[in-house]
Amino acid sequence: MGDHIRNFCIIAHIDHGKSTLADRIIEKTGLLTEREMTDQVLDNMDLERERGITIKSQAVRTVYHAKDGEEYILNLIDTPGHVDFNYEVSRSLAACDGAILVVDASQGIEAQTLANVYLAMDHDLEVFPVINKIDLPSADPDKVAHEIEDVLGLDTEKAPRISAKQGIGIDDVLEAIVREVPPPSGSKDEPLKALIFDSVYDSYKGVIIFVRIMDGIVKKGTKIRFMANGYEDEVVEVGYFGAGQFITCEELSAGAVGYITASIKDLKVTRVGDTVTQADRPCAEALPGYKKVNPMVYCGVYPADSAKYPDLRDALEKLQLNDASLVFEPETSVALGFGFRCGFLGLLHLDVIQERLEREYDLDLVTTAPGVVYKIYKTDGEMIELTNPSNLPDPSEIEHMEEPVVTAEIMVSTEYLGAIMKLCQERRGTQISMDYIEQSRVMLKYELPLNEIIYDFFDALKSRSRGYASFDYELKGYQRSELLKLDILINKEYVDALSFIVFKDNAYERGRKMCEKLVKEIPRHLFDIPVQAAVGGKVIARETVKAYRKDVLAKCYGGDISRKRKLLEKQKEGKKKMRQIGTVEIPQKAFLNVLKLDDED
Amino acid sequence: MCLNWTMKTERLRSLGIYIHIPFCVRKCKYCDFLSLPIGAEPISLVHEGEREKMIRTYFKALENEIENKSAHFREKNYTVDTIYIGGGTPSVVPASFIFSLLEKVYKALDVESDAEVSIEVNPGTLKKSSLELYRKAGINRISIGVQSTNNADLVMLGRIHSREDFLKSYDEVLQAGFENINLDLMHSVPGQSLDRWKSTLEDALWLKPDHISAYSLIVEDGTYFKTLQDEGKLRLPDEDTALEIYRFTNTFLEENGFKRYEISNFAVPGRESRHNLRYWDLSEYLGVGLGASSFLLDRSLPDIKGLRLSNTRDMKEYLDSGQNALSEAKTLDRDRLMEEYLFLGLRKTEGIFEERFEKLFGISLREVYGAVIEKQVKEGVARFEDGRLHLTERGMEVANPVMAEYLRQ
Repeated sequence: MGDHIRNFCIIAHIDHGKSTLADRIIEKTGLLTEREMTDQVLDNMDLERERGITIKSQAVRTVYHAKDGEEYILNLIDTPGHVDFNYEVSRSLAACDGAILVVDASQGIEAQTLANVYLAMDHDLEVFPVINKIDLPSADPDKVAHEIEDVLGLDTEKAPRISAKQGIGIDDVLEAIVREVPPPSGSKDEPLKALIFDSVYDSYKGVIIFVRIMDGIVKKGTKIRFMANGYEDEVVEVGYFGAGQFITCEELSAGAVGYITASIKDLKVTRVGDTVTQADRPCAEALPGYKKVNPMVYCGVYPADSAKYPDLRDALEKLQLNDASLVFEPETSVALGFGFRCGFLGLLHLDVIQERLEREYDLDLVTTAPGVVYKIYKTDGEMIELTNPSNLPDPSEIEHMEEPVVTAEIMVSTEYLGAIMKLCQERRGTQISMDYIEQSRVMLKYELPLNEIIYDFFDALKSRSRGYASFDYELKGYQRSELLKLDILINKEYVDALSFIVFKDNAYERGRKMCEKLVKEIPRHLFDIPVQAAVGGKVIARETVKAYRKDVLAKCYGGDISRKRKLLEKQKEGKKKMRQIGTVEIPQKAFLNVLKLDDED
Repeated sequence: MCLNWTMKTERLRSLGIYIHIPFCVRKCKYCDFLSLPIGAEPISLVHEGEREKMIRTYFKALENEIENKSAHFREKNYTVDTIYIGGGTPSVVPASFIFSLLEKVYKALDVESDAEVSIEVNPGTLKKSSLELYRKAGINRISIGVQSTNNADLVMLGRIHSREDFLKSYDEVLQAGFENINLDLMHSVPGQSLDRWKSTLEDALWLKPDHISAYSLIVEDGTYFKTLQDEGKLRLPDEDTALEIYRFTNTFLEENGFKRYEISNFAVPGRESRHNLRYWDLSEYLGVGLGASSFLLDRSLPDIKGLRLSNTRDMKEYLDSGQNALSEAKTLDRDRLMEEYLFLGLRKTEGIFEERFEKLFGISLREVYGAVIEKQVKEGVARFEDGRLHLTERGMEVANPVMAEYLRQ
């Protein structure tokens, strides 16, 4: 049976049509009737549909009758495409044997195309290209095919040229999967060895773990062991993934992709990347698993209603279950009370987690401005990793500080080269290389401090290149830097949740912009509110939220009081989304918005 | 229906009546009232066209509504001490209609002999004969919607009259023998400077009216001004000028013999609008006509409760329903009534009295609002002394956020 299984994923730059192709594959293989097809079957979280991106890896099993007359099981494992989620891509790839590379016929290769292909090759996957969106007027499949051969060294002679949207060429893709993706190796006679690539929590079934079976067989009643911690339990149910649903089956054997439940209630037992084996007949050694990823961006997450603190902890624990890259630890803020300092892969990851907390767990949150992890070398020889700016030791105790830097690859058309180089320069970048991919496109390599790109670099990149630039980065290491803590005072009161670390030469500019931004965020009060930025107790910028001049209702028309009441209620309602700092009310979103400073440029 | 609400106390109770006349010549550029433009052609009493038919049908409906609803108030021994005919522009309809309508009210209800009976009129729609008929109908207070005496302002606001029309109308009102006259004025209109507003106020004072309502323009949704504003074409005075105009109005009128008794209302002592005070005092009123609002209060403690009703705002529905179509009916419990008592009562310069509050609600003002009051006194927006809570000048200027704090939940 093993040679009739194909485990594969689709990799692509964002918006090159990955989800649409996945939909078509599911549709064509007929596991679902057309009526059941919702627009994007794989992205079953509301959130993903709205954003049009894929966040959590998921899998679906379909049955395909190939032209050779045989029936194949195609396990499609979905991967996220955004740069923040490289780690998750990596998890999905480990469960696959091959990858379809989707390239947009008019856009060509983009920064994330490269990054994803390299990642797939690292995992020894067979990668075969598919040129998508050939129906667009601007499509130039020949040119893009050349690009793929030149830049990636992949053969494009047999590459299907398709339009996933129009349903053109999908059969070619399916045949290519059967032809190009190698069948899984491994034997069902060997001891059980399965890779956990994801898991979710279900209140009835407990933890549902998603596995790729490398060797052996697992079925109901099998006593399994998690190799990382030795936890053992008996399998209650096994099955595979229909589109958006779990379908139970008798057993999962070598090469299969499916799920296992064992009424595990403790969320901490199952770790993504761990190996599952049979307790009484264990495999010799665990799979390599995933390299631990370290969060790159930290911020404070607080419940708007402090009574919800335990709920927030619960929710974070549940999210962490299938998102090992999320880390958190309790912290307290004078301004915001009890909350958590959370670590994320990037800003999008932060946004996604925040939205999931708010939607799936019905929590109202206040999020503070995100920052990176700084290394503080103290004069007494101690080194601390700083994730919360408020904890910065006194300058007299600091020998020097280091900040993380990334190597960034930016692909841009020559037209916007100047604008993008200027942007990188403004963000303290050092150019490493500049290579022409073709006449009109350039691959720029820069070293940039992470702190300069986490907030709004991607947005700035897009707006300054009118969308004609793509971007990917990876952490390079730490470098010594002159850094300062910038404090914000609102109505003369220091607000710890607004402090952040800034490059020395940028302190004045940042402080000024922060004040300008805060003045726009804070509503008027009955009194003037000074907003100040300070470094080491010295005020370097100041703005004022002017008091209300006049805000009074004219008459009540013919005794229509309801209307007046509604207006006052609206005014009152607005206050609920506020945080009280001293006598000043600050909108909750302000804590995150203040650092998005490139808006006006 | 809701009006059959049983009242536990049977003592004499007073009632205000509001009658809505939704017709006007044309829509002003700032207007979001419930009004139907019917054009400038005089309403013919002889040849009945579409307009005449609609107006006649509407008045018939008003009379029915009065007839139907008054039974309840008669039974409960209510006496009417204020009647207010508002609009729209009530003076666009033939005065004989107003006369018959009031006749109907006097017949249906026990109206006190010294009741305040007001009508809103607009210059450019007034006829001498109408004014005489108003007098005969028992109307004793005329409210003139002049807004400004500056012709540029008037054109810009989309008013149909000029400064000259207004002066002529005012003279006619005096000639007809009216002794209680209000002028409705509007400041902070587009392009207005303090000087221009000052000249309107001086004109107004020179005429020696008994009452002045001075409202600042508010750009409401659905108005022509709102469209202009969205397009960035409305040049309103900047907020410092608007504040200056507002402050000047208060001091200038006070210096000239007027007492400011409510945020936007000024009167020669003794000439305060008794009808408008009902709104701020949580007194009862019955509204009849399209979109009209009513308020009823059952004062029995501890279950004091109020009822706010609004008629439908749809003309066809109103005419078809036998005037029973409500768009809203809301019962207010004690908590809500207390909120309203505060945010309405504090519009008055005298504010509210601790003793009256406690008598009405059976609980002390301090117990309910102590914390808010303390905060506001500290902020300088309210004052609480000798058992009286009232807003300061500053508090009046920022009344919206201040009053919003009296909403509980």
